[in-house]
Amino acid sequence: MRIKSTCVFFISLLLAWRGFAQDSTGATHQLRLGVDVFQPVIHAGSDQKKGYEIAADYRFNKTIYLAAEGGFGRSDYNYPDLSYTTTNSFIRLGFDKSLLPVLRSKDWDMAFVGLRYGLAFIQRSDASFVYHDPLYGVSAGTIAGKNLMAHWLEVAGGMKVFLWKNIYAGWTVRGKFLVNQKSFRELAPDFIAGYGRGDKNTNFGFNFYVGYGLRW
Amino acid sequence: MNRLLLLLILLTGFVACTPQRDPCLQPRTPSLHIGIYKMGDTTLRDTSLPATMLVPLDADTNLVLLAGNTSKLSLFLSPLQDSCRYLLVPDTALPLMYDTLYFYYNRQQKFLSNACGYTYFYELTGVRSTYSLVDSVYLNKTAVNNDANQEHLRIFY
Repeated sequence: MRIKSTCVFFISLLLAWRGFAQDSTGATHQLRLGVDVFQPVIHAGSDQKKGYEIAADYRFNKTIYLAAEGGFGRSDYNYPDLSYTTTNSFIRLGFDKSLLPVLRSKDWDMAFVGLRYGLAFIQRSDASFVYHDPLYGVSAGTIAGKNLMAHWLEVAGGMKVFLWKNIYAGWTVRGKFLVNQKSFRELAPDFIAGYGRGDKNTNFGFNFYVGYGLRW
Repeated sequence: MNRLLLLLILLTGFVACTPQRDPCLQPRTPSLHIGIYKMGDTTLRDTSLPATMLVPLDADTNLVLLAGNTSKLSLFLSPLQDSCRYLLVPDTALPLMYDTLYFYYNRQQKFLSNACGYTYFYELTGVRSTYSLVDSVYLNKTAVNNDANQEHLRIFY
């Protein structure tokens, strides 16, 4: 519901804006570079999670855009009975298919659906745990740190609209499906930047990008 | 610029809705389950003890487990050592009539979830009893975990 209302808002806003930006150079190639401004904001109130992300796409032909996204993040899972830290970096590769008909050669706006393959490299610190037994009291232990990899597939959809000259904004919603669930049976990371919760086989994500389109 | 500010304000609204730690919705402490049976029958028939009390001899507290009139008992194994003892009093009206149960096991650290943290599961290696009132004991299942439907031990009177 939250994501839905957000999408409606952003669609309205971007459609209202798109009339301001039209290309007049006659360019046929475009490399779009953007920064996700949503992740820093959504995690601004949390001391435990941080995530940063950039995105790029290149127009392969009239409807297909090659897409690459990457970033990094960290999570401090810090509770009296369980504490550990994870840091990770990630990359997503895939493509977007534009759903809007190209009205003019200078029309670079797009609504799209896409597919991604995601890969994250995760470093999990030693984890400390405390177990409170109702009869026998407290016992504590440490689980050795570990390096992990996460693989996932994504279905994505969204919009990218040029607001003014080469400046664009756009949002993407994502359904993410973890491929190697078995790797996360033992102390699944609470947060993997780029994917979300490591203890869930399915996650949903949202990004809001602001960036620049290079054309030639 | 005002529109961008409006966007950021709306996005910040999400922050207030970001959930903190999930609640733990599964048992953190696995129980060993015991069935009480009557000896001498060719068929397995459970029998109730009148006012049962279990006293953990190695516990950190003076708690006792009162089970009342029952044919099913549950108890906790100690995560601090590889064995523990319980006094089994079948009738609290006769507190000096009891048997001692000895449990031997291997402990296994077990990750439940980020919400629940870690616990211990156990693999029973042996059970012993005194035989003041008890006729015999039979180890039926050795894995003590969060499966509540297992009957690990049968005690025959």
